[in-house]
Amino acid sequence: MSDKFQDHQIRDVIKINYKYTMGGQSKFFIELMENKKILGTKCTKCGKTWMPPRINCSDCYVSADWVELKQTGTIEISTIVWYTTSAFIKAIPYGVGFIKLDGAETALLQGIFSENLVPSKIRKGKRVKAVFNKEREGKMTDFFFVPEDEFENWISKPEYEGGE
Amino acid sequence: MTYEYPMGMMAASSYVSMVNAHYEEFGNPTEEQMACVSVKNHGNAMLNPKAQAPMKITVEDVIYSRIICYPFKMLDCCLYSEASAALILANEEKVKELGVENPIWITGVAAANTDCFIGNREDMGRLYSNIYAARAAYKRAGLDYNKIKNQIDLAELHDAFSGQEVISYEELGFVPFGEGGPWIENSYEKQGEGPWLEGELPCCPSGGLIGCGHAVGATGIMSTGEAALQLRGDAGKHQVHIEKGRAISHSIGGPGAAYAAVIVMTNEEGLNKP
Repeated sequence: MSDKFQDHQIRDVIKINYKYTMGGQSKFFIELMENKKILGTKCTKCGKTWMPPRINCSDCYVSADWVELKQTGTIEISTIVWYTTSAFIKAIPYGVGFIKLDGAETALLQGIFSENLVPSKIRKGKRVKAVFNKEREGKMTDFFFVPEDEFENWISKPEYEGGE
Repeated sequence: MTYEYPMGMMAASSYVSMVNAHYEEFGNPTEEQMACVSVKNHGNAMLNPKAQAPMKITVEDVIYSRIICYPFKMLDCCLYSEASAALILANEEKVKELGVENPIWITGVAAANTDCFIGNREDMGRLYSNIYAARAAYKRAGLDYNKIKNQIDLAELHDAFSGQEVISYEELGFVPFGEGGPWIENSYEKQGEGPWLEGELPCCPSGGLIGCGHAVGATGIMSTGEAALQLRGDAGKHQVHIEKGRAISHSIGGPGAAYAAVIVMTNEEGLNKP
């Protein structure tokens, strides 16, 4: 071959259909999807309430019981994301933070939405309440938190609804 | 994966949570103080021929660079990169047998973990793994956590993000909790236009991860090697003044940056110094 090698490339996508199980955590996602409930777990030995739920207590290594938690809580820490990986780039800017639900002793990472998404609106100590998508799939993205004073506005939108 | 991945929490947003928690508790690091770290590390990298992100920039350049996740801007973040690094390790007998000139001795090593889930931590504004690893490594090396700033010549830190370097100053015992931000601001300003190779304790004279690039997996080796070059007097243009003959390298990783390692190194002269 005297010709100089030329490389022709085509950009394509490989799709893979697959399922994965939520295993012992399934109850959380089923209750979220079907009943708009947020379940945590309570250790049968030390009584610590875990959110997100752990089927076994991470401190005592004994089983924990499911408990329904309130849908209100306090922001522990938050940020507003303006740049991220390709999987989430369509959603920017989005608020995300660790929220301690009332009655829970650990904090849940969840999206925080606001009609006026600025750092001061979602900073530590602000009270938030859960809002659910009307169409739910049993995923973490089925719900999010909004500042308590915006709750009524959010659930008046056609695609969302309140829980409790 | 189950609960946190769908929220789009990536490296920067994960680290920024800890920095924001620290800010809520102590009122620092401010955006300006974090920018000082970025200017310092990018600036020191100008003197390091192997660095991948050398830049002569100002605090304003950092603050007005593109926002990544509040309050981190693009120049607060390291360059995610590819590179390789290597160390040659040998025991004392082998070093003597081979007649190695100017070896650097590892006198203390420690690693520690904290809870991977940031939401489980009672103090979200600090990494206890850093504190435990530093205390244990210093103790092995016969050094004192509360006086470490005066017992070493330099520190190569894991500055994946500027704000996190500031918090590391506190966790590694250089300054009391809550004083990291003012400490770097003061040290930065005293050294004017840079390079930032002097002061109470030079941190990341190589440029660190921000200045050199962060080749995940290789950076801990790079930092350790950089500290060794400094102690041998072979660091070139970014050489700091070696007086005590000791240095530390620090690296962290894992989900929620839960894993930390600290290495204390000493040159031949440092072995006999108090």
